[in-house]
Amino acid sequence: MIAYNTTWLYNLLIRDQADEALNRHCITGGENERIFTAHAVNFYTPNFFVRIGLFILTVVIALFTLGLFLLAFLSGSDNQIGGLMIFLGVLAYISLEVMVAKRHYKSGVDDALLWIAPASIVAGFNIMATISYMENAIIIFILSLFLFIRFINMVIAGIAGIAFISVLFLAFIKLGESAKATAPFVVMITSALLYLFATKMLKKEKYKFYFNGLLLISIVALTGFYIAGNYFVVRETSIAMFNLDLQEGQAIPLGWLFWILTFIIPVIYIARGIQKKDVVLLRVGLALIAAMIFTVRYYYHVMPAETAAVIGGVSLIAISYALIRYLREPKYGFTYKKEDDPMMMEKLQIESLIIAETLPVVQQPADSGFQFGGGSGGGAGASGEF
Amino acid sequence: MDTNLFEKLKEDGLITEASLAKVKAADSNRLFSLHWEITTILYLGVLLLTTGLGVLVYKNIDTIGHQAILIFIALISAGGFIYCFKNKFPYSAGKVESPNVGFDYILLLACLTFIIFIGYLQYQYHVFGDRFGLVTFIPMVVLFFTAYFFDHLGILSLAVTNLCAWAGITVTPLEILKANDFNNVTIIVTGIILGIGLIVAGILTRRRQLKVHFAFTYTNFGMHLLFISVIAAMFEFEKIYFLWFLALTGIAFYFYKEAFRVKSFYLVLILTLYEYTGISYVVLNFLFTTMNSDLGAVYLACFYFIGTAVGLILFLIRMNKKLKSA
Repeated sequence: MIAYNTTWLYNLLIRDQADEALNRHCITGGENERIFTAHAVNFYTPNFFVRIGLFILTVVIALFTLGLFLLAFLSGSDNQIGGLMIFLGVLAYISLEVMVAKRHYKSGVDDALLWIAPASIVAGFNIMATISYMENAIIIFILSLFLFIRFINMVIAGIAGIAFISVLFLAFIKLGESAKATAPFVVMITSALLYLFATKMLKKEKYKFYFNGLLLISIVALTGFYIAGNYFVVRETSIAMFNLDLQEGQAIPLGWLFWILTFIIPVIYIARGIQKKDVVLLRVGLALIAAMIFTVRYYYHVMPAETAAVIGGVSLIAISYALIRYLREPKYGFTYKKEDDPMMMEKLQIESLIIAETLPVVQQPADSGFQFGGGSGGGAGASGEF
Repeated sequence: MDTNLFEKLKEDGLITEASLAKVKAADSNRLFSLHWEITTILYLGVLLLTTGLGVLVYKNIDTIGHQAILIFIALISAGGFIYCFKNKFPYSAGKVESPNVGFDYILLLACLTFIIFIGYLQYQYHVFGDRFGLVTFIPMVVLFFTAYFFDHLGILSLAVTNLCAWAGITVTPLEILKANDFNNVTIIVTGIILGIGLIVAGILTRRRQLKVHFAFTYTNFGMHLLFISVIAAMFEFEKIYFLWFLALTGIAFYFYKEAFRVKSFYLVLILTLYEYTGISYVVLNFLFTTMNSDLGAVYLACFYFIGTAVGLILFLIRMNKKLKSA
């Protein structure tokens, strides 16, 4: 099923584990070396920067091949051009198989082809005929599911997850008015089942190569579950998609239920995340807190934004300070200490770039004819918005 | 870590009994790190608080008064600098570790409030009159001094950005192409001079053994600025574009040598992409002027890009091999 050589994939896993053990000083350097020689990996995986270069160049080749084809069919009908795109997509897929057979793994070439193939096939279908959201979702789901199973790509897996939920949602709302009203619950049930499915598969040794993809699917499912129950999403989608006639400030049917869900789901995620020491639940929960605050502020202006920001900021700082103090010594298996991270050096360089990018620099006017006025550098300040 | 896997490695005789025991111990004592989560909350809190305070001050400027705010900003800046002076490790020409986690951030805060202070002074009171250069020059000097004195890479980046701002160019990574008018001859010339200057600063940093870990920041800013300026010059001075192309190739060759010296894949990628842009300009220019831009030229251009991209892929693959074994 998997296009890549699974023995080498397995050996890569072992090498990763050996490196981790070495970083934690559990095994010696000699042992690490012996593990590496005993577990050969013959993939062609170049350095990360070379990978970026190969990715860009592969996209360049695909674009200009498309250009050549289009030139040849300059006066072609939509059908011809659409067919051409699909043909190109199939061509990209065949090249992908060939490159993978030539031992390419995360080389940039296979990464690029993995995106070019489905993108041009979907584009081709859309040029040939006007197809509905539902049909698009089905095509995307089938393509991405297949590509995920064969090429174990994490992001493709996430897309497959989103497409799956979309297909069920779009199919269900076709059933009529009562279906539209219950659609949020159907999406919630779908997402819940998807989450249970993904987490179950995650634990299986057999699917270890799909680990990252399944992880992303579980994140998609958790997010989908929340979105479906979020008051803002339900209200605005009902108005936009189902022509629900609501006045400003008017509540939706079962509004109280969606308000409860809006508040309680992130809290449950965080609580379960802490209880089960599950990073995914915890982080998704934290991110959704932001969505929850946004939802409340969208409908209720309890206090001016700046007061809310000050109060929120102070409480967040207080919370994190308290947690740092509390976790100075590890408690209940939690710690504030960082996990050992060999990437630290590279992060430092990136951090300095982020500082230069996000923080304001007083810009000198290029033309001394006009007044000093803040310029356009940086974006962290509060200038220009009022 | 997967203990089953290590059991297997033990059976294969790849690791010793003692190592396996260590792996098991590490696995059962493994702590759940909340570092990322707590740091994010803290960062969000600071962001919200500062934005909120900023807006509050902005709305109440009439009652608070500019002097009070200026004094407040100055106090924060001075406080930060005083704290850092008191707590820093002694200066050395090599790398100096920061005494604690908060140190780097407090220093950064002190520097930023200082920049805001100068900017505010000029904006409200026109302290420097029409000498706009001073508004960026003073913070630049302070930033460079701070970066070296306290050994802070982030502040060095800020200082370099400020240096370029003083010369009239925006060099933050996302803004460099957007914010600058590279059709302007002055900007192109300034960019070339600054770029060369920064690269030289990088070389001197290494030669003089003065904060060697700063060298990459200089070289990196200088390289991008120089490449972009020279390519812009190619587009701008059309009559002698080939001379600029030769200059571009010379620079690319210099960084090619550098890439091997420091074994940097990053440099290889960057020089390849810039040089490719230059070559493509020359080729397309030739195609469309000699063939009077008919359809044939478009065809040839497509073939050119497909062919050269394949060629470059092979080149990068070879470079990858060469650099790895170098």
